[in-house]
Amino acid sequence: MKKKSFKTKVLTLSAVITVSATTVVFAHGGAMGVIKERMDLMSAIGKNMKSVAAMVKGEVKFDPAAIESSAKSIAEHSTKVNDLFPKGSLDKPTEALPAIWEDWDRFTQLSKSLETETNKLAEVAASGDKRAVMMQFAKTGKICSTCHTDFRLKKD
Amino acid sequence: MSKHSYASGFLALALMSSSSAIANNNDEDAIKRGKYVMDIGGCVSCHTDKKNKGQHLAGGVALPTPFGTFYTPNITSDEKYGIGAWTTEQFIEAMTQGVAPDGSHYFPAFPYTSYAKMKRQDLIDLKAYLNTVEAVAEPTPDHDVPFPFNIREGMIVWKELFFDDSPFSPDPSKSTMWNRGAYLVNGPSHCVECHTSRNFLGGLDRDNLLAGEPKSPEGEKIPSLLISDGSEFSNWSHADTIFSLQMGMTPKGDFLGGSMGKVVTNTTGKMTEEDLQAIATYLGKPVKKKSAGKRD
Repeated sequence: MKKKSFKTKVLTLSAVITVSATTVVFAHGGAMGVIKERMDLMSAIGKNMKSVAAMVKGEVKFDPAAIESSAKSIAEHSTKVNDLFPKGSLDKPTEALPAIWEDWDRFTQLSKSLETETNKLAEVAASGDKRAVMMQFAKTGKICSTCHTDFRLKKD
Repeated sequence: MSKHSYASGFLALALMSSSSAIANNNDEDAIKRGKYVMDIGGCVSCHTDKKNKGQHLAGGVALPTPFGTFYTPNITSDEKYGIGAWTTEQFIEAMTQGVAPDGSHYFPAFPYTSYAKMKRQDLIDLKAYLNTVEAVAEPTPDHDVPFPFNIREGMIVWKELFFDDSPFSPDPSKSTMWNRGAYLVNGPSHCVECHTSRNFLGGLDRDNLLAGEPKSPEGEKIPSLLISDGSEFSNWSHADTIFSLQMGMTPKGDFLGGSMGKVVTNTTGKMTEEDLQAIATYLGKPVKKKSAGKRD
């Protein structure tokens, strides 16, 4: 019995160390488990959106192949969204709102639209039509905003 | 209008307004301009209960505050439940003085404190537009505000303390664009109302205008819009600012949500490029001059 409790202590200690190490590596304020996973997922989506935006805004040279690959990456990420929001997963530092599970159908509909619209963005990018890319990018952004408006609350 | 003559007053109003409504309705341009005034004011964010699939501008949105929960009124053209029976003058009085046609005082959850800065013509146009909004015969719930804040007369004191009803006055030392931005931010678009902290009585901390609010009544962090305090916003460029107001996307690739998500959808996303440039300019991010012509 005594041995076991020592072991537990060691485990706890190493867990604490792991957590603190994680915090240092990933700037997501001590997020763990599924919360961290989805925050990282969202960051990855954001990164891709950012690189497409830079081209839409004309800050960087318009590169259809890069846009296509970003769009495909977002589409792939979007298929993981639902699983990363298990019912009631509201541990700190999440910014998710309980409304997600009160209106789960709409939430999943939005993640599905994100997949559909980013796949379309990839297609449009492949065609090289800059104007069409801008329109489709705006459409994609609309989904991000809608979801963040109804289902997220910025606390920090 | 005295408080004890609701019924007769109401009838008189209804008669008066039907003739003025006809006059206003003839002015297609005024209606068009008024629609844009509604957009820059973001009326829809608070007066359309999108969450519960409410009708356009029929009110009923719950606004939680430290003083209780307010429910926004119906501002459709319905003569009984909306504001269709109001004259343009009564409407202007409500918007700029926070006084209802029956003489009662509004709570500042309705941001007349900013609308007081609005130009008379903008208000006339806005009313012209609102007269065309389909009437919805739907009452809105009473405010759920406990004593002592439920005493509207208390608002007389509040106004004395915190309400400056002086109209917007442009700063002649600044550009037209800067002044347009100042008008939008402090007037119709009422950015100051959420991006500024409030004191315990709900008055804006005017010494720290636009410095942000760490925790809104909804628990949301409202960022600072100052460029001097090292906030995230202070690093945004002119183009970043416009892009985020238009599309909701921040320079980091994140998309604004929460209450700002509504603002982007209903207000800034509908603004003209010039107006967005004006806001960015006023917030300290002037348009970069590409060619020569060194003008500051």
